[in-house]
Amino acid sequence: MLSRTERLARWIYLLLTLVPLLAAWLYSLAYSLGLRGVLSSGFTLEHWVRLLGLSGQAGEAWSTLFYSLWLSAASIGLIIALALPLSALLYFRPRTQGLGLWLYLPMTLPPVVAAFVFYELLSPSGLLSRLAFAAGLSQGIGSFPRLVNDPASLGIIITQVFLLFPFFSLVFAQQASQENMAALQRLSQSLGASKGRFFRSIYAPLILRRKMPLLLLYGVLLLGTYEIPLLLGQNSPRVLSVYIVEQLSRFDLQTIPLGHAMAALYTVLVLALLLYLLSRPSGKISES
Amino acid sequence: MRSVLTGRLSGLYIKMCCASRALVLLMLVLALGSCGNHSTPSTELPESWSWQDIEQAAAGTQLSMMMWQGDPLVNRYMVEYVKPALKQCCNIDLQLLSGQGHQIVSTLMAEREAGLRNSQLDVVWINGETFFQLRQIDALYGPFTSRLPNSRYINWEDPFISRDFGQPLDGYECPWGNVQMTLIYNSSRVQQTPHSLVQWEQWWAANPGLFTLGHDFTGMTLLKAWLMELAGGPQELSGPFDPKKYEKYSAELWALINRNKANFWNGGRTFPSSVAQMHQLFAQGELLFTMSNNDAEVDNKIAEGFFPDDSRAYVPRSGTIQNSHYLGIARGSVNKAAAMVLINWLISPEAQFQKYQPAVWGDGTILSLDLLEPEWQERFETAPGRVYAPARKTIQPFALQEPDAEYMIRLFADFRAHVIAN
Repeated sequence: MLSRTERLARWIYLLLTLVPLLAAWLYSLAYSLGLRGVLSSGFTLEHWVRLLGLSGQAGEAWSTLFYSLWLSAASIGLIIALALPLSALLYFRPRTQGLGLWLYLPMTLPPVVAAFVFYELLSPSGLLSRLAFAAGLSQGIGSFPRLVNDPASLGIIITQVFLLFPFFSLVFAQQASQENMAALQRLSQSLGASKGRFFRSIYAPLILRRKMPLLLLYGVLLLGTYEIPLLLGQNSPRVLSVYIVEQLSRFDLQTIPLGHAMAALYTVLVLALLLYLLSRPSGKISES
Repeated sequence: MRSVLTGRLSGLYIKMCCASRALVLLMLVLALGSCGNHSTPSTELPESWSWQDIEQAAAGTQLSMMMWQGDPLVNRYMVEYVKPALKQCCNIDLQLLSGQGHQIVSTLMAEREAGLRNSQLDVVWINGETFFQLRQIDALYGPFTSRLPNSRYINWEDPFISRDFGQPLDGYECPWGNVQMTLIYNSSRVQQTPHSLVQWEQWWAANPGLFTLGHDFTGMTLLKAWLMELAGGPQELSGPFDPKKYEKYSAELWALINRNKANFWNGGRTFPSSVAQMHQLFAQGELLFTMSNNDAEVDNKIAEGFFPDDSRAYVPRSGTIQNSHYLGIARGSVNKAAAMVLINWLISPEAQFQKYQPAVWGDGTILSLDLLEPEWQERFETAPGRVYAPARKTIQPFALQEPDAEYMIRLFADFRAHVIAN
């Protein structure tokens, strides 16, 4: 039973978080329907038809949405692939725990700084290219493989993974400790399982099951990332946030309602995902 | 599972119902707040006021100016020269706010949509499409330029000043500087600079990966010049926007770019999003060309040590756009008197001469030398010249007038649709 103070605190929290979000969403919705805006001329579905159709600007909106989802999924997948083995190393080999301190370093970098660092590192005139040229591995700027502003979005994925995989390595290692993985490993080995088998069949599935809500939340966070794709991405396709900002700030003021429509749609998608996560009985965020 | 979800949604619904009451309360507070704002009228300047009255009203007040702060020389001019001088001459405290183009439009648009009559901005540094947009939403104060004493030094018949992106000024903005686009190149590696689209195609084929243009204001300014070249000259695109002509010549332009973009930087798969990125790529040697809307910028950037010493600027014989940049006053400005005093001071011969010098800013003056006193004429004529950029007199014959603003808007959108997404 919550005390009166706790109930009040909860309502204040809701007021500070939900109400501004709801107000902003309603504003965007009204703008996209022609009900707000200096240049609006009354209710219209035109902007939603343009956004949700399948050709022209609409096709671009869909490609933006799927591109953002793909980037987020690829980054989270790579984070899992790197953080799981590293967390096992941190947990099972206490001597490597000094490494944990170094893992905090990337977490101190703001995304925009990380984007600049990787641009200077990976661009054709960057540090790696210069080292490759000095070592005779590259003939010059033109022959160095493109790792930023590239079609595969490697620069974006590398930077996002660099920023987040240390955090997940530490979180996974802590979870391993809570699950008493050492005892589970001894048990599995006594039943004849190898270390590799233990990792694949027990360690990884258990940690991922426990931390899936957190991973999904970070997936949602990456959906809305801005600075890194802006600097390291291509002009087309763009991520959601870059698309929305461009629509809101183009020379043509008539595209502003389209930006609001996309923002309203994006909010609904994110909230639907969060409601789904909250509704999972075994995946409460609080367990993370 | 479903019952758990239903239960949670029901709980959420109940909370939302309660939250809606709080929302109503909040809206009420916001409405009351905005009512309070409505009740305070923004200051208007009576027509009967003389210039002395305006100066008197401006003295001892604060003034905000939103401007692009992306160039250290421009910032230094404003902070170290304009601010102290304005305080000394007119007892006005100038506050500089960072923001350009769409940020100015967004700010003033949001204020208008919120029903605010008093703006947080007084003076805005604008041109072209921003002027077009601000006029669209009626966010500029005016006409005011005829009340400025120093406006007598401006030749208002000059087509490069009297129209901004084809739009008449109608006294809603005052010219501050005049520039012409130049292409900046690495003179050690570029022996022959291209002067026409035919020559550009040859150059791109011979030098793959070393040229690009930004998907921004500067890049679109180059596209406008190319569109005029394809149209056979600027006369064809002068006057109000003509959709038929645009469709015809832009189709040729996209075809030309698409058949050559494989030879652009990064295979034409992506384009820099700003001129700052173009400059960075040029400085690092990834590009052999960059471009600038300020014809003196190459001198500035070499002086800063940002561009290599062998950088040079030129204007192709096919021509480049020359335009002016302007100062406007927000319709909701609460200090229009001080705004006018500042603008009047910024177009004074002394302030214009200061920024005319390449070591200070290198911005072209909007004052007509013929209208100045002989002393100032001489000072402008004997001012230290540029070293790496061509003299203004030599590029003037290749100056093209801005076409209607709609050309820029359509080019920006269609460049994405026909080139980037192609």
